[in-house]
Amino acid sequence: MSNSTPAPTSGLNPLGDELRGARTAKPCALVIFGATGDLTKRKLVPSLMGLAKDGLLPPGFAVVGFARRAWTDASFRAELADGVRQFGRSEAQASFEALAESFTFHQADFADAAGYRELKTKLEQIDRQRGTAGNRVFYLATPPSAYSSILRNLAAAGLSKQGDGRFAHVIVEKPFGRDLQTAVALNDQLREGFYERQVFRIDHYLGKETVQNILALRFSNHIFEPLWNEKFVDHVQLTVAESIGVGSRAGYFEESGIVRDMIQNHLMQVLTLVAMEPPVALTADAVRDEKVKVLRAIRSFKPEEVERATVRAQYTRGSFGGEMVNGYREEEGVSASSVTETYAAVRLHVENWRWAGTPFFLRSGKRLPRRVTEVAIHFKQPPHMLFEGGRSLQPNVLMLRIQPEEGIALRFGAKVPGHDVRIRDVRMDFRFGTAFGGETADAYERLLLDSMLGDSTLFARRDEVEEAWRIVDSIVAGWRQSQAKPTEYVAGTWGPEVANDLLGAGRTWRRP
Amino acid sequence: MMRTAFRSTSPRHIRDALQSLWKMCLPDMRGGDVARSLTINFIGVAREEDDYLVHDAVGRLQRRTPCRAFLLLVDDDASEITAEVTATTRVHGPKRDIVLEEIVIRMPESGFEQIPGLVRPLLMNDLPNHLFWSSDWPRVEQHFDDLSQLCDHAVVDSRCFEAPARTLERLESRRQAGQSLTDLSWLRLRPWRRALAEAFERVPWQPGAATRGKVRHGAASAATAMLLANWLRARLGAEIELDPAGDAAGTGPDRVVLQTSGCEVELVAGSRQITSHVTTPWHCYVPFKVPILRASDSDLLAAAIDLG
Repeated sequence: MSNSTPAPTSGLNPLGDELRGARTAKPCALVIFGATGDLTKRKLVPSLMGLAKDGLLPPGFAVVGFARRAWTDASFRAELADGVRQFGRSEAQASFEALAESFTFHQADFADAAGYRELKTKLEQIDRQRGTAGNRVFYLATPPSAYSSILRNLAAAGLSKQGDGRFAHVIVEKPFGRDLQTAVALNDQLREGFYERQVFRIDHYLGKETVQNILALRFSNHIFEPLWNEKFVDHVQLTVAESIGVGSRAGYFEESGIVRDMIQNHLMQVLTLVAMEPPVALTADAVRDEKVKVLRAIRSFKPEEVERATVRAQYTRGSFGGEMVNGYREEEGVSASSVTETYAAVRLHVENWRWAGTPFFLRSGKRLPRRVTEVAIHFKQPPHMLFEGGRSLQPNVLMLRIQPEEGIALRFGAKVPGHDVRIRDVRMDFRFGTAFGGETADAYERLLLDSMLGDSTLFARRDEVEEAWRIVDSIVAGWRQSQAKPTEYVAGTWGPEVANDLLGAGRTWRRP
Repeated sequence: MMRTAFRSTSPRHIRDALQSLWKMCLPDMRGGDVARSLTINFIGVAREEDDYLVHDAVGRLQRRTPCRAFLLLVDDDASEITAEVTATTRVHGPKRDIVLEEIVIRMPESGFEQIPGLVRPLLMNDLPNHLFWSSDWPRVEQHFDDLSQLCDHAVVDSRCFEAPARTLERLESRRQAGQSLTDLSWLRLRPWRRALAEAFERVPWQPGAATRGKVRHGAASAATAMLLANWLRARLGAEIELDPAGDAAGTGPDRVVLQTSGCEVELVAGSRQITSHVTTPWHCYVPFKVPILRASDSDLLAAAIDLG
């Protein structure tokens, strides 16, 4: 027990290990741009209260909501209290009541320089009152069109500077651009005011426990790593399926499509965690260096390759959950002649020593039968089948279920009890919900805390984002050049039949 | 959603009773084939009149740490050892798993001798074993030893000790001898340790600097205050005085004051937070607050098991 640890012989804080172990950030002020939006109410503030409940917020802490609407401190707090009540973890409400006074509202236009000078004065006042010690986190919870003004004005007001033990971090929400060119432009703009180590690009998938568990599974267990390569793995399937249609996001989705909305960020991030080499340490740059190497090992497609290596499709009218639902082109806000894909499947090759010849199949779609995210590692068949009927056995599959029913399952052959020797596929199942139970922290909790701690391991680095866009841009360019229209699939099915052709002989898509 | 089934049995037939429970809980599966997500074996010991201590603990524990739990209730009126077996399942997606197998054993104090032989064959293999001794340190220390030898980690609560000073010394010598022991009172001190650590971020402390202090506490938190004082003595080489004039029912210290190198640190407990004042010869800092988490004893036990 740690109360018997001997006294340190040197060092500034003789009790400092109590702080290091607790993952508690230094005192700081969090400024949320776009604080009247849905993200603040549904995710950010409930997540902050989750951190408060677990005692992980720093002693000196304050939140400033920055937005154009004419709200007051009182109306801001009332709105947030409502959000915490609806979306917070149990007991989050009590945390909010205790911390409500540390939430204030600052009304200003994102483009108004004077508003940022006033913000600076306000933050200095908060430093004196609440002991936030000049530390700032700026959260851009706004549409991307506002990023430019905010970043420029923060830098101009001197709010992006850090030093003398003070930090200034900026959190940017996806999408990080809509292609490589706009991503580079955004990153350049960030660089004008902030060093890369100050920038935290959020992809909330990386904050999910089960996504982080991919690293734990691979690098805390010795049994998997020897098999994790082209010698034993036939192929890998990564699926992000959504059961909903485009809903109220039709305007945005028409511009992006599923490949930009899901594959460029979530699926690419999961792919890098599955395919990366072991990092030398669990530090931000060591992990991200290995992730970006995976992306660099994936060639851009030549336009003529895209048709053979991808499938894109749109959902049509079909029966879903017992009722008929509209096809994509019948949805409100969608053009009747739209060619935006609501389903995409892509075959990628990670061309390195570990994965040469092992394809990675990525797919994502809307109006699929279930909402599910999973990684399935399909192993090769044994080189010689001893058992009668063995050829009908499915190869071993290791399934990493990211959501829902988070867990890990392994499919393998077992003898059917009886006097003859017959083998049947069985499944060994581990589920987080039953093994650990309880409430799991929201992904935003982990990511908000990490951004305050300055730990960017679970955030996308500039080169990762740009490499992912390089790959996705080459797919989009091939589609554009081919002029072919997306194929179709009926809403409520697992996508178009032609998607199976992508996998090659003897392989089929899982129905997760 | 949970479902609980119950069987009363004799100690010799606990295994049969478990199998029959599995059938009741999961009728689609054959007795021995049920899926269980158990991650630890847990042995809790309490006096019969304090049985809520271990029942509450297990109720909280299984939410996060599914287990096979042996609850040993010492009942002076009992003439023999009796057992009850309960199973709890949790629905997760389309499936239902057993997450708690609770084996309640009532026994007279003399029954302790038979317990290791009864429990050992029923411990799930390949899982870590945790002991929770929820009451005063035993008059017959062998009882604790017999059970802790079955286990990888033992948890005690020094708040229940009638003679805390002497017992804390005994625990410390066991730790020095390599026994894995966690005291819930030490976990209760987390916010105090954190607040003190935060305060010393502002204090220019040098090794060897003369440091004096006082910890005020009430009767119920004497052991907790002693642990804090011992920690400060070990870390700072401080002279610490204990002042028992605090809130009699409080679960932790009321107030801690430390003076070193012309600086003063004062921590005062409120209902939900500790307020810390730090004054140095050069600066009077804005007071800061550290929340006191409203953790129940069961929450602390779950945390102790994570640590163990």
